[in-house]
This record gives sequence, structure tokens and C-alpha cells, in this order.
Amino acid sequence: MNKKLSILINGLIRENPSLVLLLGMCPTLAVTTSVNNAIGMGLAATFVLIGSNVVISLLKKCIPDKIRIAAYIVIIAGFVTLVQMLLEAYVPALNKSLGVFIPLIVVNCIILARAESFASKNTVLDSMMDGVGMGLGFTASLILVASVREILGNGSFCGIPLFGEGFQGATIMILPPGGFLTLGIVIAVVGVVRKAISARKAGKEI
Amino acid sequence: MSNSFSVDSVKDIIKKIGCTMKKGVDFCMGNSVLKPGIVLGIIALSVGLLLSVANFFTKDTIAAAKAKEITNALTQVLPAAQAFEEMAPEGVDAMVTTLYVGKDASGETAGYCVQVQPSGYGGSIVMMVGIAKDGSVQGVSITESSETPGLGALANEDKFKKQYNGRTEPAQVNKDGGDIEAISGATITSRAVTNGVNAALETVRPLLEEAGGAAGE
Repeated sequence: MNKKLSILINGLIRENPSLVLLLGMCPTLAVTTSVNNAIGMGLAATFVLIGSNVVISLLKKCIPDKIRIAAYIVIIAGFVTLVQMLLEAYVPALNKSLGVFIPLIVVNCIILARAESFASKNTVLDSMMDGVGMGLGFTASLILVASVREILGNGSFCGIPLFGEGFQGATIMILPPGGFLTLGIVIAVVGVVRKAISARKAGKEI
Repeated sequence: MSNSFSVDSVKDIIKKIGCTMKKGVDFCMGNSVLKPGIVLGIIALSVGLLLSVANFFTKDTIAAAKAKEITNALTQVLPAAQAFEEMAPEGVDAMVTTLYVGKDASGETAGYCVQVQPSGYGGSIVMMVGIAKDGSVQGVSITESSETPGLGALANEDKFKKQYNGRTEPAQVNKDGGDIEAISGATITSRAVTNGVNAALETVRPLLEEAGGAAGE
């Protein structure tokens, strides 16, 4: 049980896909203009990640090595198409605001990387936990970046205005340059914190 | 004697057939091209099958959601009308994609809604323009656009859209000498929306004249 929990924590913090492994940068920059978009994108990717991890782990013995990437892509694309159908049917507004980034989950490196490096080598349950951890880690980092951008750029959080009518947001934070600035600073802060934690741990052990 | 002989020969034949079959299977499965191909084919086939099931269950909801979205946009831009009917646009601007006639509670024509698709800064802007039977713009709604968030996307805010309400004549943005106050930093978007409204006015004008002429006679 402890191992399962550590797999979950691994994806959330230690190997956070976008802030530590630096995978899936494209959606991290593109959809973080608002917190709502970030949550939608994060959960859609989490669903695909859990689904593809489980199925690939189940089929790991049947898939010949030579065609594994092709097989993974077919399975991932299947889940992505399913997500898009569900979004279109039940949350059309979100589907519209995420636009092309939903189909692009197919080529999101996080999902293929977890299939290749985790799901194809581990048990079904462990792969599922890895999917949950990585997915939530991705969602959390999207929300973090989007919060900074939405609050500074638009003066709102989840679409709720924070500072009243007179507030003039810094539009640059919503535009692509703001995405790069925020992501860079967030990654730097996370790096410093990680270093401090590991230094303290090392100090304790000595 | 003869009985046992025939059993032996049958066994022999079965063995031979089995051997040939095994060779065939070995040839197929041992083949480094055929086996992965078959596996991939099976995976693709099952994914496709599952998706067609999912499509079967979601397609009605998707169609309903799309229809509801259009109805919402129609009621928003032409509140006076209760029901809408699609009609074939004739000889109109290429920007115009669909034309709806709005009927009020008593079945009289309350006005027209025009879906126009001008090109903005980030691609096509799909928008709905409602025009009452007196020829004035009742409302504008942008249903789909990929304009820059925080700049061009502000075109869907009331502050900008309200400027078109009540107009009967084609408008222009202030930069081009008109009186539509363009969104700062998004002149291209403002111009595109204005063009869309103008195209809608041009489309509806002959329809209104026809109706007005018929009533006058």
C-alpha cells in the first residue's frame, strides 16, 4: 500500500511532469490563460493518462516490441477521441475554449512517456496509480501557472473578478509572453524549493 | 487386420495434415512482419469498434447541445422572437453562412437573424446578428472565435457589442472615420465584427423592403 502511495506522490511532486520532468510544455503554455481552462485540460489529460496506462499495462505482453509506439498511439488516440466526444456532448463551452488542444493530447509527451517508461513495465494497479499521480501533478501545475496569469492579467480567479471594476489587468500575462515568463519563474521557484529540501534531508542523514 | 490398418492410415493422414498446418502457422506467426501487423490491426479494430459505440451514445447529445447553442444565440440577439426558422440565403455576401427568420408569439415575422463569418485577427469569427423588422440591429453575439484573449476576445463583451444596437445603416470603426469605438489593441477584430454587422444589414435590407412593399400595396 505504501508503494502505491509513493507512486502517487511521485507523479504529484517528485517527478511532476511539467515542472520537474519538463514534459507537455505546449499545453502548459497554451491553455493556462484561465484557471477554468487549466482545470479542464488537466482533468481531460488525467482521464486519458489513467485509461491509456491501464490498457497498455494490460496489453504489455501482447504488444510486440517493434510496433509498441504505434500501438500506444492508437490506444491513446482512442481515449482522446472519447474525451472529445464527452466534452462536446456535456461541456461544449469548455470544449470550445480548449479548442485544438484536446485533440493534441494524443501527442502530449507526458502520456506517451508514461506508457513507454512506466505502464509497459509495471502492473495494472501501479500503472493506474501512476496515471492518477501524473495526471493530478499535471493539473496542479497547470492551475498554478494559470492562477498567476489570470490574477495578474485579468484580475480574476476562475472567472470571478477579484479587484472590482477599476482594475486594469496586465494583458501581457494573458498573451504568450506572459506564459513563458510565468512558467520560467514557477519552474525556478520549484527548483529552488526542491534543492533546499534535498539539502536539508542530506544534512539530517549525516 | 484390415481394420487396424485403416486406423493407422487415418492417423498417418491426420498427422501429415497437422504437420502442414503447424508449418503454416509457424510461417505466419514466426514472420516478423505479419504478427505485429495482425496485433496492431486487432488493436486498431477494437479501438475503432469501441469509439463507434461511444459515438452512437453521444451523437444525439452532441447534436442537441449544438442546436441549443444556436437557439441561445438566436434568442440573445433577437429577444422579440419566440421561434426561429432557417431560410435559404439568396445572392448574399459570401460572409453570410445562415439566415434565420424569427417569429413572435402570434407567428408574425419579428425580425431576422444572420450568421456571418468575417475573418478576424486569429481566423474566422462566427457571429450572430439580430435585426428587427424596422431594420435596426437588436443584438450581436460572437459564438466562435480564436481572437487573442484579453484583446480581441473582448469583442464579446457588452461594452463593445452594445455599440451596434439600434443601428440601421452600415457602421465603421473610429479609425476608419466611423463612430464605432474600436477595442484598443484590437482594431482588426473590431473592424471584422463591424464588417459582419454590415454584411448582415445588407442581407436583411432587401427582405425587409420586400415585406414593407407588400404591406404598402
